[in-house]
Amino acid sequence: MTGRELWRLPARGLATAVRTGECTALEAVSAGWKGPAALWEGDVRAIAHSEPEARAAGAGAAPHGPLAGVPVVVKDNLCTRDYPTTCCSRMLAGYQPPYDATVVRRLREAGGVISGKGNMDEFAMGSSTEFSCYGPTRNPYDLARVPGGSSGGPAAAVAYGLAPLALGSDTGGSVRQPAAFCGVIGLKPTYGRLSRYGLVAFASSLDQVGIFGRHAGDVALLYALLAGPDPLDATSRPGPPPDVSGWDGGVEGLRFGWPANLWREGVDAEVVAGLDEAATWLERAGARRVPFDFLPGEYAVAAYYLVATAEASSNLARFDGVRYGHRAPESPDLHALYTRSRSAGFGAEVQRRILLGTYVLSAGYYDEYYITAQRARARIRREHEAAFSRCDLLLMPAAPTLPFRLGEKLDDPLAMYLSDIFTLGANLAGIPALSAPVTPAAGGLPRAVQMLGPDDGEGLLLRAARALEVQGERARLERSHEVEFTWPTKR
Amino acid sequence: MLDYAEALKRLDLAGCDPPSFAPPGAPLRADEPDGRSLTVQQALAMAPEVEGGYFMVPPVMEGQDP
Repeated sequence: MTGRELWRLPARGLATAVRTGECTALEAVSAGWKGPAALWEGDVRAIAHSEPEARAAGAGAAPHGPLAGVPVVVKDNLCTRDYPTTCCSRMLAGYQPPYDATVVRRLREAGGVISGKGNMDEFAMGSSTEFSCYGPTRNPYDLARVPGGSSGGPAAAVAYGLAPLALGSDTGGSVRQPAAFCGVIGLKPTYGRLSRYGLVAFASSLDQVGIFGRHAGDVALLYALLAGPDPLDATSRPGPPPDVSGWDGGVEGLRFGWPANLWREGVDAEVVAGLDEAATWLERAGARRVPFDFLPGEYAVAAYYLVATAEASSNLARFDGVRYGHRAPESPDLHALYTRSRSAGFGAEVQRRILLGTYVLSAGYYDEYYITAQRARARIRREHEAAFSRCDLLLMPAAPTLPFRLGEKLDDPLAMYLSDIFTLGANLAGIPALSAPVTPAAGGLPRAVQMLGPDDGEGLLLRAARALEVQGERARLERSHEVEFTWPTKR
Repeated sequence: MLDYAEALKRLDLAGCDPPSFAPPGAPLRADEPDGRSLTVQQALAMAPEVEGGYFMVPPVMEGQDP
């Protein structure tokens, strides 16, 4: 089998090829770099850190296991002992952790090999991957557009073929929105199901490690290998994780919620058309639509940006030039050391969020903003629980627009924040959610829908994602075996 | 953003208490996992300044010379 063919394989097929000796782990890992990356990476810039020696060493150690020799791109905020981990920030330039994040350790134990560290918005704060100290990542389906964010690098790398799987983090949609913009599947698990040990914290009560893949079966496999309690993460959920082995079991009889009031205004017609298509496909596969009204997303945006910035201001206090991070030279006193180190180390968006978070936590405003936001969060969780008493999963947009142009929202933070309006509810509620592609829009840009499930509903979401995969393929080719991914065409 | 957040004050939040994030049944105290500490060399490897096996940090008490 040639390298050209290897990078097109799903992760499961690639691992089988390695285990049966059809190719070596090094060939499997190198295929994406020799093939598609040679064409795409110079323009897309999905990878922040590529370490060929670490990649080769990883391949040498990984000929066995369910992920034998499968390359996986890992977002640059997950600790890796053989690659730098900088959160794409000057603050952590050159930092190489002495340990692996738990999800990275489990990935390696299963035979997976890190293919590179994915570019991201600095400290995961952004929705376009334009706030990286290494420069933006571009969308492989249109290089003038963003790949979404903050995990835009891992999403773009999976889309153009560098690796069949990637790990990101999702605090308010940072896996699902870039997955939607890049035409791949993005899963945010139930809070606590994937360990956060070794994930550099942004907003600890919202952060979850998430998974990118081109095929529902690949995402299910990686989830099954990574999920489960971790004694090193006090917020990991005890007990066995949900069984996702039935990902190909179909959606016959499932009820999906259709909160039509959510997309009457401010949502692109192309996005609405994609939702209609997904609903039709699910119905064709045997699921039933349940319409209902839902709390407007504006409340979730407000609650989210108060809670997330408050937690960020606390978490990022450690980067002060003394305990962690960039240290400004020749500071005359301690105050100047802190100020100069943080001003030089953090970019503008991170500073904006730290300032907002510090304000909402300050005396006199704590109850007015932070506690109010936390109470709103409880109501949002309650609304989701009520919804799941009537349906098995909720269908809604992943983002209100198709991928926007680079620079389009850079000068308007609120407009950028509103691009998360449909994704951050799942983080506030702690529930699992997944975005999955449907038929591309008329101009060829990826189009996707998002599905939300109840606690531990990952299996349901993957069944629905597989149903969309199969129905989409039927719509194109009238066949239902392993689907062909819609690869980007360079333009 | 703060102006935008004013909308929350119009939301009916009766009976909505701030949530807790400890998993159901989670123990209040957890044992320290064994065998996972770094060696001194590993811990010091990324330090910007090291002396005699210790981290060197700038003066952090007011009144000390930098």
